[in-house]
Amino acid sequence: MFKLGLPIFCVLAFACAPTWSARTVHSHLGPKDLTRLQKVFADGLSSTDLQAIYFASLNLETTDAALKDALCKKIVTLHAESKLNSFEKDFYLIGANTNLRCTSKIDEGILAKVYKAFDSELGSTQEIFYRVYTHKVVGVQINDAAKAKIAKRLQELLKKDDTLAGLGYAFNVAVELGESGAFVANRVEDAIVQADEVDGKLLQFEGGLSITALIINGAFGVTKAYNKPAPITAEQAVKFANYFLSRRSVQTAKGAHVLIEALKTISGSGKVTPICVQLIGNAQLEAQSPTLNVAVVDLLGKALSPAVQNIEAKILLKKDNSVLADKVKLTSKSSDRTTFVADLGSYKPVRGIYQAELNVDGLYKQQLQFKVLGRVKVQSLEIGVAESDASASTRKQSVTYPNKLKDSLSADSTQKLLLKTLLVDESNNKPIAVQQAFVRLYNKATGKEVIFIAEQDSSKAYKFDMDVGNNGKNFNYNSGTYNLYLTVGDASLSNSFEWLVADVQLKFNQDGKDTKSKTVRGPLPEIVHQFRVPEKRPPRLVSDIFTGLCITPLVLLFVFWGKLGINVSNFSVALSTVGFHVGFGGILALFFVFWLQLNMFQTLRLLVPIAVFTFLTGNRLLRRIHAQRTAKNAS
Amino acid sequence: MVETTAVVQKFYNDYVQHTPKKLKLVDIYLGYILLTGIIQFVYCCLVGTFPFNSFLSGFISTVSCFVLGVCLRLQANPQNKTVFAGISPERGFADFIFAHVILHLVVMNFIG
Repeated sequence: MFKLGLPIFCVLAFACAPTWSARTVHSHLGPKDLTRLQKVFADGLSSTDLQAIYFASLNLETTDAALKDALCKKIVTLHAESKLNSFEKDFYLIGANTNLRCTSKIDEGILAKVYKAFDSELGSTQEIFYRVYTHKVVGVQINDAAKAKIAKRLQELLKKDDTLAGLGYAFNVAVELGESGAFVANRVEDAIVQADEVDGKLLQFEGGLSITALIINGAFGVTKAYNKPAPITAEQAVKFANYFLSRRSVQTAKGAHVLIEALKTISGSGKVTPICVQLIGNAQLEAQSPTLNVAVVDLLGKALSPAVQNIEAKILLKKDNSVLADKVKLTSKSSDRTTFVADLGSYKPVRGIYQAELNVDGLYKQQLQFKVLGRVKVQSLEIGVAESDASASTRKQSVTYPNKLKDSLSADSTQKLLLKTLLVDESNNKPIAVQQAFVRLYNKATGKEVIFIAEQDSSKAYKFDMDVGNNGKNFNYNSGTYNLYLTVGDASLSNSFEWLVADVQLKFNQDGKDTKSKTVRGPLPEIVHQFRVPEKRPPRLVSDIFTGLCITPLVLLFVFWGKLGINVSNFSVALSTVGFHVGFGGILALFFVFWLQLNMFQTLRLLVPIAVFTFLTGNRLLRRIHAQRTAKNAS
Repeated sequence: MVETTAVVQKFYNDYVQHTPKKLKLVDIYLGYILLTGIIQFVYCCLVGTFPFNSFLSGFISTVSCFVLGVCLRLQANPQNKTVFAGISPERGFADFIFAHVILHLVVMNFIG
């Protein structure tokens, strides 16, 4: 699809392009350029270059007698010193001498050389060109025999050397040769096809301005001399004209001369001549009085010689190619024959970019782009300070353009600054979108400013919303009074403005600044150990009750034992008996102390002797009881 | 129902008449230990086990005492003389005391 689409697109583009820009260029050699070129010639006269003096004298008439005499002497010395080919410097000397109307005669030797030039065989087309033109300048007719000889020689040379320069010189020579040079006219086409195209807009010959000018002047000259059709098409003429116009900043006297000559040649070429159709002014029209001013001139900035009869324009809106007006007549301004005017006021153009398609006498067509500027009006502007977290209760104040809010606003880091403005087109009061809508906060004390972009919301109003706390960094935490400006700008507005809306006192939190400047060396804060929070204990009363409950069975134990008739009659006061009971009681007491304050090792150390004692006494006690029992059983 | 009452009655009379006095002393002691353990368990159910180690050591103490008491009763019972041939009641009592000393050393260590 793409592969197929692209060539089709290209064909369409090429097919359409010439239709709407025919035989017209966008600029011409204006008064400014001519003044500058005059200066180039003036500089040329004062230079020490024979060629420059020749071309300068050709275009500037020197009236000052003293200066003229000085120049006449100077060219003679320059000629003697010049390292140019003799045929070339002879031509410049004789040419300059003639232009300056010097009273001093040319050296006879030089003239003799010129007259005899055609007797011998000439080496190049360039030599033939200079010699022929030297004859012309001197005013000596070349006889027919010599002309035929030159033509023959020229034919020979062109067979060997058909460079562009060679052809260019040949064309110019042929103009002077009359009948015998007719064959050269057939070579014009060969030369023209060798032109290089640049960007599809310019045509030039390799070798630059002088070669291009040489060929164009020669080609037009030779075709005119032999009554042939114009050597180039109208389209090519436009491109060559564009090339010459693009070279109008030329700095040499020769370049300036050939440029003017070439433009004159193209301008006077009759059927293919391009003209210049351009807008006057900066292509920006005010919406109130949209007057389209167009200049229609030739390449040198003069009015067209068969005066323009009829100019019609079709005005399109560039955005969607909708037609605003068709067949708008442009009328000639009475004071200036080159200026044509159309008042578009009746079509009520809105703000935007337009394209005018101009048709001059049905021959010349040009596309011009212009802008219609609108005017913006501030319908409303509200400014206020709100809390960052809850924007419900915001008190907004209205400000009218171009006044400033009377009392200064103040906002701290927990608040935000709000601004809402509706911009409308002055002509129809409809909201508009502009290219630039900025809110600028400028601190007079520090000279620092921060610029925010105001965004357009769904209702086409511009909104600006700045959280003071979050934006501290942008302001470097510099609290203070800021001037709040609203900047509205657009390329299609004639009244872009910057408006001082209010003064705002901003207070940022200093924390950010402090942490920034503080060094992180030094001890970090101490980490305090967090003990585990103890679990909830039961109330004291419950614990006490259960402690008591645990003891009651002990009471019951003794009660039941008592009921059963426990007797301690068997308890004899022997060492072993007492010792055992004391020892056992000691162990229990030791365990109690162990529970309260001792550790395992201390306990074991104390336990060992008590346990040994208890074991020994217990052993003796039990053995005695056993002995008593066995004795009793036995008896 | 009457039979059950008669059985319990007969069992009780048999116990009172034929059980030696020493064994009755041990039985009362066992009853006392059992009651204490039940109270501890009720406390645990009502209030909670915190502090857990204290509860555990107390409960282990009662359970172990009960077990040791049962062991003593078995060894001291004349009807079991054939089973514990070489072990006299005095020997059983000495073991009982020794086991208690070890047990309560551990319990006291654990009680916190």
